[in-house]
Amino acid sequence: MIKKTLSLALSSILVFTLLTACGSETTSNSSSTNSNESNTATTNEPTPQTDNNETASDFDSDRIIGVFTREDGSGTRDAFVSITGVGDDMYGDAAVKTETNEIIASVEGNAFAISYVSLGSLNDRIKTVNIDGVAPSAATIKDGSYAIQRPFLVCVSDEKLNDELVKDFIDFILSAQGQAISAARWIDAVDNAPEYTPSGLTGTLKVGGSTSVDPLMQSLRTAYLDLNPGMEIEISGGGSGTGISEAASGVIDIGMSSRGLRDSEKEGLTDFVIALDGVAVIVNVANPVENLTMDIVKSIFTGEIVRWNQF
Amino acid sequence: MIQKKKEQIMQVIFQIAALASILAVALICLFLFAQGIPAIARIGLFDFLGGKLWRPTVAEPLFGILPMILGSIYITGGAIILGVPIGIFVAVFMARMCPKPIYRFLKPAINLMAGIPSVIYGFFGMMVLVPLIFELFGKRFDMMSGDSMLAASILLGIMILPTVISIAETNIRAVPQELYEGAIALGASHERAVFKVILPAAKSGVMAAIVLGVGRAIGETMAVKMVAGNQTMLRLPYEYFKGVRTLTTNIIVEMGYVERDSLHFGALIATGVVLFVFILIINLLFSIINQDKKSGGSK
Amino acid sequence: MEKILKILRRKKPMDWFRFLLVWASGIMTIAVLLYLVGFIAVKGLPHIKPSLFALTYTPENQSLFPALVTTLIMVGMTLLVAVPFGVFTAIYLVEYAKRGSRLVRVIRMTTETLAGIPSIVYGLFGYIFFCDWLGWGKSLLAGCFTLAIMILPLIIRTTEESLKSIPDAYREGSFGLGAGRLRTVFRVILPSAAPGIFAGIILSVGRIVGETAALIFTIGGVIRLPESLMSQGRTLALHVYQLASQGLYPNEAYATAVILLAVVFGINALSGLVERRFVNKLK
Repeated sequence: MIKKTLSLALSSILVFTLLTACGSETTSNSSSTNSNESNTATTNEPTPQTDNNETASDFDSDRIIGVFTREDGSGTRDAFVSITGVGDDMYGDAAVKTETNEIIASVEGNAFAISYVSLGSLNDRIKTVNIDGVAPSAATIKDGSYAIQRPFLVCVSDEKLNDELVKDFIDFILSAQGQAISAARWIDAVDNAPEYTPSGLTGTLKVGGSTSVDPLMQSLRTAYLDLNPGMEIEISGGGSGTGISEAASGVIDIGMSSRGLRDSEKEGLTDFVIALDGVAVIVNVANPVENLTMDIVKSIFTGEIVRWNQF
Repeated sequence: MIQKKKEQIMQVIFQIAALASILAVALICLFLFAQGIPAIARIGLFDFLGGKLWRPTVAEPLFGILPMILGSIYITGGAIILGVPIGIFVAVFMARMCPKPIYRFLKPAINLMAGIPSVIYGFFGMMVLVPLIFELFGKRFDMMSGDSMLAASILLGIMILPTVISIAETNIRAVPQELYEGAIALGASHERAVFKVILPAAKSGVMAAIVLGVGRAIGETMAVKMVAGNQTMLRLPYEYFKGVRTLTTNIIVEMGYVERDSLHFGALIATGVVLFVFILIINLLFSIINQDKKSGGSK
Repeated sequence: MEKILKILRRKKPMDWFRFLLVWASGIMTIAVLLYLVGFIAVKGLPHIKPSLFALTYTPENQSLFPALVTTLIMVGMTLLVAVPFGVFTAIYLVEYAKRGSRLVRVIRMTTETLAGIPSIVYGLFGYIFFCDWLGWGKSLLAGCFTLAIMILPLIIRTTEESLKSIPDAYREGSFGLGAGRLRTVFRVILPSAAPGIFAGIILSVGRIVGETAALIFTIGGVIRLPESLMSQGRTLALHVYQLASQGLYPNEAYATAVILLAVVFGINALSGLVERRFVNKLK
């Protein structure tokens, strides 16, 4: 008897999964074609007006807000929670993603999502929200009116500080040419930077750390190698913490960090601010929200507001 | 004389090679425990294993891995519920019921399934399963996203299928033909003979297949990380539409940003130690089952 | 005809139910596999283009060539380390050691333990031991040693099986002709067991190619042609992981996944071939 009911239960599970499996093929196909269409639609006609009219009516604001956050220890998260006042009370239900681009992909694929990324990583697959009426941009970050911002820095151990390759590369980063690259997508950190003259050195530098600083470092690398063809620069990821500790232990020559050094990390390390960055709050392109106050952002990320129509 | 020397030297070389696996296990234990145990000691064993909160970076950090232990158990349990019955039925199908031409296609297909890298499964889960679950259940169950225990369980259920199938099949095949023939002679139909006589006779082998499946599911990292949501919240078993973090994903999610030689780092290694102990327990179970099988077979 | 009718009459409703259950499971499993492979193939095949195989990786071409080369190097080096140890261990267990001795029991136990350890734990260990304690840093070398330990049990087990399957008559014949134990092992037993050992090696190649969790901490993430064993690298599977989780280049991610799947297909076909030849030979 027990066996019979058990087998019946199993068979019902089977049938259920079979059905969903069959359903999956059809629905996922249709959904993928849908998303393709909407993708092309948004890229072909980026006129916000029609887009908004269309989607505002579709947007079901009674749905749960899909909160996505970075993992503990990430520089972007550090900056975001300390400035917005979320602090240590990050909403426990928020899904944790470990890379900037993972966050972007998640927000792109979920109409009810909200998250935050570095200003330099923004693209048109997601929508940026104004904070207290201020859009994140170089100007608003430099004058401080856009509040969610942080420094990008590189750090070098005291022994490596006298290494001429390291010195030359850092000279380049802090020069007018280097800062122009910082200013292109982020915000330059050095006023009246001196001109850099190519040194013609040869050798290899190992740079590693924050994935937020990575795109900037890639651009800096390309420009530097154009000026000094004999050089090679290897860039690895791992995050700010890894970059700092590996720079301190000498595994790499230059560490990248997207947060200030903690006191425990400062010993034996010298840091240079190479750019400023804003942290932008992002939502899905279908979301009609244009502006959020800092308080609402805080409430969303601490879990006090859980639906899009609760504010 | 030279010949004899050569023999002896080679024997020593073989012996040394044979010691390599012992050395490897010893090193793994030594280094994991050397880094993990002090961290557990500093956190406190009960605060570590029974702590409900994982707050590694706050001023007074909390390192409780109970949510991850439960997460691993839930997801593995879900995978077993979904994967094992199907796996056993497929094994029965392959061993006793399927026509030869189908078998010739099915066998390599199952082998291929075992060989597909977990990133591919994870990618598939991310692109197909997660959006599908969000679309089907998102509104009804107030899901934040498709990243959920359900997604991870379904994906793992698929991933353990080849393990369960191939081991269960071998064991079902190993059941003596006389048992089957006896059942048929007594008037049982083919299906009845297979289900009521052969399957029970292969019970310990099927159990072994399940245990190995559990091992595979508990240890899976990349695929789970891509679909499970990775929240450190303590979940209840019925919160299947919410995300969770497992022991394996706890390591992979936070290793990137961790400060070397900090307590946080130690706690992550200690998570690995707990996982290791889990696996040792499962191995022990497996060898007990195998022992049973052998003694049962000799009777 | 009569026979079929007889069989049909024998079946009761419960039997039909069992019959359906088993068939449905089989079909479902195959459907899932076909859907998975088909999905990746349909999305990826159109995006395989020559630029994916460019010599150097740039953000524009997302070339997988450096990852492919790194994968080959990793496979070669890992096998170079693991195969001698694995095969010698198996030779010791089957040909030299007294069956059932304590050492054999311990070795067998440790091999089983190694086989069960999840790859993420190997990754942690590799990071603590090879990268950190031995000071190799994240490098191909550290990754390959980590993987070598990981595939060791697989090689030991398959080699052991195939050595055991060699009939004792071979050994007796060889001893009878006056050959020593060593000569017997290398001239008689290993050649006959070679296909089985080879099948095990191919299985290990499959594991190396598909591994990510053990490598992510040990070989780093730099994608360029490795210059030495101490440089960082990224294997094909790791590359798929990066592309997939970043979501920046979905088309390239699918295309790279197709290439990875193709490699896995190839390895599987090869192992099937070897297995069949081995079975034929034994017959």
